[in-house]
Amino acid sequence: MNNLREVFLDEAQDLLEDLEEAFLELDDDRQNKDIVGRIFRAVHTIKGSGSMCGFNNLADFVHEFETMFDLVRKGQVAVTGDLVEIGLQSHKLMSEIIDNDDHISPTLRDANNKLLERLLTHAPEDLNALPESLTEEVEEDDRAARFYRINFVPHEDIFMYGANPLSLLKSLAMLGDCSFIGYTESIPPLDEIDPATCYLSWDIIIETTELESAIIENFEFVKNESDLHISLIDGDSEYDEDYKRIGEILVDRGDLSKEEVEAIFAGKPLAGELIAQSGLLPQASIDAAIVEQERVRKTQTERKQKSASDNIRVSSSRIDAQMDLVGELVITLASLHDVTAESTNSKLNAIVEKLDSLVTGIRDNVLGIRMLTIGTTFSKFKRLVRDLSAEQNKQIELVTEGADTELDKTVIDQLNDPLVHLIRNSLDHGIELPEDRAEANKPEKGTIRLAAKHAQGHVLIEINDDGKGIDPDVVWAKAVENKITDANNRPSDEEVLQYIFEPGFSTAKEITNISGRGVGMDVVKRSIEALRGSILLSSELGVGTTFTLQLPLTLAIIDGLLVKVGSESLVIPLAMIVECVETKKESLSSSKGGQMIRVRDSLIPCIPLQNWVGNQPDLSEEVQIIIVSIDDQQYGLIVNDVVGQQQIVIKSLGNVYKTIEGVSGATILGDGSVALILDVPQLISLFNVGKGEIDVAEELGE
Amino acid sequence: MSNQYLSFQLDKFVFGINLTSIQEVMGQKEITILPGTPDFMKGVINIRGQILPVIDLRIKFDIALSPPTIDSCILIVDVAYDSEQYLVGLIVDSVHDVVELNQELIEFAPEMGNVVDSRFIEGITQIDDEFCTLLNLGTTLSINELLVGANTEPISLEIT
Amino acid sequence: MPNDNHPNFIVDTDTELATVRMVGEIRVHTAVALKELLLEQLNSVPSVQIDMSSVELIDTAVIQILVAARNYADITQKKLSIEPISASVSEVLQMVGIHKTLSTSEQASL
Repeated sequence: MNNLREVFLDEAQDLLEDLEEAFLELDDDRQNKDIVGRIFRAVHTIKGSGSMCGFNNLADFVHEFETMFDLVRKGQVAVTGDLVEIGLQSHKLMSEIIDNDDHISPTLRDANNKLLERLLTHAPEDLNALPESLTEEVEEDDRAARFYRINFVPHEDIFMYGANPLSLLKSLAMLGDCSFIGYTESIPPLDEIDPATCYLSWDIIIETTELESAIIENFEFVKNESDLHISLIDGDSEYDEDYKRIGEILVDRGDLSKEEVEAIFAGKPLAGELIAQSGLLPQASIDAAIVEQERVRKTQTERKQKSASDNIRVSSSRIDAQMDLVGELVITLASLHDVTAESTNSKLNAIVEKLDSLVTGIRDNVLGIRMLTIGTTFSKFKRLVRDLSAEQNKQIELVTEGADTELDKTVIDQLNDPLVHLIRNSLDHGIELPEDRAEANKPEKGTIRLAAKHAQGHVLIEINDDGKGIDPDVVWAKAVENKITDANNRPSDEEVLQYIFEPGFSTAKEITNISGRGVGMDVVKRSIEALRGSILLSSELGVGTTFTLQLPLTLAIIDGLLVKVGSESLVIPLAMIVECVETKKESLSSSKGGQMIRVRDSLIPCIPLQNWVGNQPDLSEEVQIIIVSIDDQQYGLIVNDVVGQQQIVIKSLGNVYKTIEGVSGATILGDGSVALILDVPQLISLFNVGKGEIDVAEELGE
Repeated sequence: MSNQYLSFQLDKFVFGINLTSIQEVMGQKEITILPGTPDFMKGVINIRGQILPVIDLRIKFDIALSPPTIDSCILIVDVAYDSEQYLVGLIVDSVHDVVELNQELIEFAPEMGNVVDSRFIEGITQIDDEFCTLLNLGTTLSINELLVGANTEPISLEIT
Repeated sequence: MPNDNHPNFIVDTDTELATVRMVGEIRVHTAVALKELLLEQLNSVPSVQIDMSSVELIDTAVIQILVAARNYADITQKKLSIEPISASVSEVLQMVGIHKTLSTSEQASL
């Protein structure tokens, strides 16, 4: 039972995301029946699965929305801004109910009731009569839809009987999705028309789950005043690869004989046009055939896509477990390589080779499974921007690009908070109020662009706004005021801007409820760095600000350099390393701040990792210095030995080690022992290296 | 909780851990140092692809240190604390026996005069005329407890 | 003339352009009046605009009149534009699949 509940929670998460997205889309495209259908289905599923898993309060609450969107779906209730707003709020409440495990607090209940009241103002007066029939109809909805071609020819005198064919078509449209083709050819010019005569007739293609009898019933009122022909176009939900050609349809419909069609074609290609040119038929008949063809084809492709996206739900923990096993496999393979390295058994070596390529294949495959598109994260931000810009009386559009860019699931999960922070920052400090923008000759509506793309084994994410930009002078003043930097030594504007990532920096003049509350850009920077990524800022005053994040594709496997410090093996991420220098201990120059190594023209501060590891014998005479680069500043890590470069399977160290600084994870080596993976920036901050000492060192070097 | 306990020796004291928490008993293993952690945190080991911390209980409980002997071993225990669940290795002098203890044989620990802080004790009992301290793993090995005494001083740049 | 004070039609004429504004619900029993009115305007000025922005409802007969007016305008080489139209009219035109037939040449070129 618990398992069922978990599946529901998982599913609800997805459905709620989809629901939110659908509401936002609906706001832009209020006539779109597909979106309404999506909303209805999502709501219906949440209700159904919810009550099955004991989320009865949720089901009760959702029920009203289901009813309402059923009416919207049937065209009885129009989509309005208020309805979308209610929908979005209901989404929020549903999430809350689910988060509270179906427990509804008094405040939550109050909010629910208010929203339901507001919802009911949209209901038609006879709403009460409707809910009973609901479940039935939904079941019918699950039945495969069929296509019918309806030829409806009202008699000339139909108006005399008080009938309005239009209203029949309206009611027909409630049975299913209709395409209408009206035949107007018989309507004479105005001077000849008899207003009391009906000249119009129709072809209707309807996709419905209803039976033919329901269609006949719809026209029951005028059965003596009209001619009605209904034919099932294709009964099954499975269709041939191609639906009938236009010519065939016309023959099918009895508009043309087969011979006529063949005569026209005579080896020529485009049917519809040719028949039209031939003048045999009015354009409307051909249009009708084309509409029929398009409709059926469209449905076919939709069905195909649906079956193509027939995915299996797998919990991410199972994929993580799979990744662990693959990691083990890679490690075991490494030890196998060690053992067989000296072997001259060519058969054995061939098997190991083969195994090697298989393992690489499996590894890449599992890494691929862990890749998700960043789009889901993006769509969450649409809501954020919508809500916050309204709150601040700003007009802001969020434009996203590259939503299909793939990233490791772990990266995506951990990227959410930093991105929220950056977008909020753009919203709050970047984009100006409409009146200020107008004054600055900018469109009143500001734009925040969120773009993702792949670039050289990395993913680049850009958050760009066309707001007021960041003033380097303000940043500089603030940096000096907060003693982040030395007032006498101002670097370039671009470098000054990067000070906003320093701990304890905030340019907000007043604290709003959006950003500027305690958490600063330093936190964003640290979280990005924790993902082994980097963040850059560029800004032009009055034009806008751009944050660029560079992130690794995956967190599961990295290239690392394996080094020895005393008895311990450590891994330094290859991405951080500039070069390795072999030197003698005494050739390091001492200064007040520690040891320095001269590499070409610069002096680089050296960090003895053995002091961090602890309990190690003194350094030998010969040492290796691994030069790493962090924010354009180079450091040398003193190690005993360099073992070599290898692929490192990263193992998370879990919560127990969360607060351990200088380590981002661990890996298991070929011999089964554990090596720590260094978080180099954090590690260096543990040492007593301050900017002051580096300056001293630079002076010494001159 | 079963009534079965695994008893083990630390210096001259006998301790017990409920058998349901014991995953495995293994011989000594090479331990990877975890820098910047408290002294009792000896480092991490790899058990079938899982990396877990190893704790020297003598240091944790402030019991006189002695070099490992041939009997020294690592108990792998399952810790469930505050909705977290994780494995921890415990270095002990030697493992004795699995003993059946009825609840009425287990007494509450007195506030004072225990071998270890009474917070860490589930109860006290006697096995073969010897006092045995039954450990509460949740409190002894809670995440916060594992980090008590970590080094936060800046590290020296001097080389030796 | 009877059409001038018909409650559903407001006509604004100058030498070049006649604007026929329809208001409220237009049904079959108004169709005769509508036919007469449009015919009269199409015969007297080169350009007629039908403003349906305030129309709440039209039925089949009225749609036929509009199509007929379009046909007539084409034959007599008059300009006839049917715009703006209200949402409910637009919905009906879409529904009967003749919005293309009705749209003016200018609109079509858009």
